[in-house]
Amino acid sequence: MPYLLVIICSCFLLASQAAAQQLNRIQSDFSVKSKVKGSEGARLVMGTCYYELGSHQIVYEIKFPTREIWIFKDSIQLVVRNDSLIATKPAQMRVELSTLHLGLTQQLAHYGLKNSPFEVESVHKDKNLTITTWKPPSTMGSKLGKVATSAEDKKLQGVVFYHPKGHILRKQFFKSYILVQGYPFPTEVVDIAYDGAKESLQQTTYSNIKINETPSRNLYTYSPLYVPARPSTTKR
Amino acid sequence: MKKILLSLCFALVGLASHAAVTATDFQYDEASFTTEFQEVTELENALLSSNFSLNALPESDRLAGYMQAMASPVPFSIDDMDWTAFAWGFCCWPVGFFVVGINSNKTSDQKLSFWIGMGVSVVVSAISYIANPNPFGTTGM
Repeated sequence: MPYLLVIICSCFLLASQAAAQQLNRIQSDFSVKSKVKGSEGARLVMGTCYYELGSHQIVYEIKFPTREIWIFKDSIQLVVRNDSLIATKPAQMRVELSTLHLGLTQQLAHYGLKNSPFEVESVHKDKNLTITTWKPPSTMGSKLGKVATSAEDKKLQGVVFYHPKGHILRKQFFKSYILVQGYPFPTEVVDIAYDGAKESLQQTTYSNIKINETPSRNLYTYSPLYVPARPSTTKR
Repeated sequence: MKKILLSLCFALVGLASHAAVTATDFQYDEASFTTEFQEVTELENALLSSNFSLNALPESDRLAGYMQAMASPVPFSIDDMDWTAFAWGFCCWPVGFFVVGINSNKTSDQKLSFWIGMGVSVVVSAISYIANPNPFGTTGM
């Protein structure tokens, strides 16, 4: 009987240790390449990104093309240079749908859709992919189209967003997974957005991924030191 | 009969647009994608190997051209217009000059918007003066 108690106590201890080691912050070098298909110019942005659960913001320390800090928070993007806020813009991405957030909260396998108003419409296998089709809530059915996710070996491979009329609006692919502290994380994200005949391409790569590390300069919860009375607001 | 055929056609189009999702939807032309980003990938690799030191980049015509393109400012477009700054230039440029024109807290887009507003004001005033040089109708009598 005492042995049984010791075993039970050990199990509880191990469980509490595992809970203490849960993922709560991620840091990674990144590069984002983007262009319109067939056009001459391309855009390259490189640096290091930081995300901590509960901070509700992703901080990008940009090293190229200009040394800046970009903070994505709620629906806005703050642009900071020399610790001074120089511009605010509408954000092009949502923190909750970012690869960093989904990876850290281990929701990437279903792209966070399980915790959204979307509902599973069908699940089927095609070739080596498990394809799940998600339908929008009935109240939004006329404005939102379906979303389909595909998984291979229980890892998200792609997400396709459809127009309510059925044509494809956007595709995202999650590739080159590596194990970070035992959790799979994609190191390459391909994004293709369709607007008529125009295709906007984007490739994001992650490298040097670190989990739960405390850097010398804590940028996870960074906010600009100097905020002018009325920072500029641009529509871009 | 015509109506039935038309309805059938609409029903078929509707069905086609809501066809089941297949693995084909999860494909893209990887080779074409890589080719599109070939030049920028060269720059990315060069930056990584030089640890973001632009002076240490290898001399390559293509990279130099790309760097020049990256360094040149994005052309100002109507989307970049700050309409408040424009209004200062258009309606009251003497005050706007101090509020926007020489204010170090204002961005280059805001300053340019102010100057555009002022330019438009001058042009509109000139046109109205030329069209009607004597707006108050005084004849000099």
